[in-house]
Amino acid sequence: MISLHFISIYLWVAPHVLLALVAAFMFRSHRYRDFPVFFGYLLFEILQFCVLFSLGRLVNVSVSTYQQIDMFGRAGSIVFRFAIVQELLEASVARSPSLRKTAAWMLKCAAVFLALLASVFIGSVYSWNVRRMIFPAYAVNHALNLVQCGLLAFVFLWHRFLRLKMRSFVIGIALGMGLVASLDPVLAALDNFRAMDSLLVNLLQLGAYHVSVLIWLYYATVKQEATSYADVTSVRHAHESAVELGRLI
Amino acid sequence: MTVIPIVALAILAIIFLLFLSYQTWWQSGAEGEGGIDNLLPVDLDAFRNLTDPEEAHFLRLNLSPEEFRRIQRIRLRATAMYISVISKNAGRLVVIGRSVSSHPDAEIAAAGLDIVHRAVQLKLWCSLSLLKLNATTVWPTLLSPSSRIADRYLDITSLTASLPTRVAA
Repeated sequence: MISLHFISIYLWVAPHVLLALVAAFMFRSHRYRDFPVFFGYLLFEILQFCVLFSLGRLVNVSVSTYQQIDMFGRAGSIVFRFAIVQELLEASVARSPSLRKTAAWMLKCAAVFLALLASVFIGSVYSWNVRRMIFPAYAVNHALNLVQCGLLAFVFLWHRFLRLKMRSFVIGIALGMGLVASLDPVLAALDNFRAMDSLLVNLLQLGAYHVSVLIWLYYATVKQEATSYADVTSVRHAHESAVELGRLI
Repeated sequence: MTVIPIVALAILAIIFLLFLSYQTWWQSGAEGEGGIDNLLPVDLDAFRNLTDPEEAHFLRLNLSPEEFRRIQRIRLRATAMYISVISKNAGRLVVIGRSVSSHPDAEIAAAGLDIVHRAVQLKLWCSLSLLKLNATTVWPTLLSPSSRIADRYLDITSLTASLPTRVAA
């Protein structure tokens, strides 16, 4: 029977090996030019894993040092994820500087609004800590995860509102990030309120991340289908539409 | 008591994951809505008339304040309907522009991209205008709608209409 220790090691190591594969696919298909922040995030996660894995194997490294570096890595990941959301939002209007500015401005407004909402919500969920004026790091992390979910929803709504078709890789990135960001607070709450065993919660968190990396890997290998739409039909279609519009105005 | 936050977070997560799944499914079939059958008629002259400040000024001078507010609210609702239709057509123009932007001819592709950008801007303008119109409905005597949307719509439709000429050349 496979031991829990083996499963947890697998769920820690395998996603990072797969992340290297995602980065390799992105490099080969030149997608790193379109998504430099996401590519940077992949490299950062791989580097972070290598450092933490090595520290975990060293005997003379104290627990506090390990935790400090882990915390630093998590903070870096959060910053990267917010930058990725902006990259996803701007991907559809990348060639128009004015629209990029508009998109960035709207994202900032949405982020501030969602941060307020998430703070109120998480504050009420962990109200026993707020009364004691304790502001735990995990509560901040949950609030940021909720903001991230909201911003990802905003990315989808932005594309839908403008009737812009999202590139398949953008959908993949958003899907993977959304999965982790939405499940993390739930699993953490199950852990914090002792509703589930900590070890099991940890495994589920790692499992969710594993699934999200598999989603990224799948979408990284899928070829972009947009160019296949270019043919004579599209111009004829535009011509017919123009005639129709001419009739309408 | 501890169950409540867990349930609340779980419900939020489930709603969000369902939303993600639905959006992914919608995105996979989003390109099919740009057909000319979906374009809706817009009478730009009537729209201009509704948003003409001189017309509003004339009504204000010749009607009692109560009557003016009532008439102006009806005009504003009609304007909002026109803007909604223009916004929908702009959305379809985005789809048309996108299909043209992937054309092998660089000039046509650039024109397609231009249509996309202008249509996106028009759609954003329409949304802002609808917000403003809602405020105007509350205070019809203080604010009046703008007719610039009609000019922008005309610009983008002219640009789309000029596309086939270039293709033929």
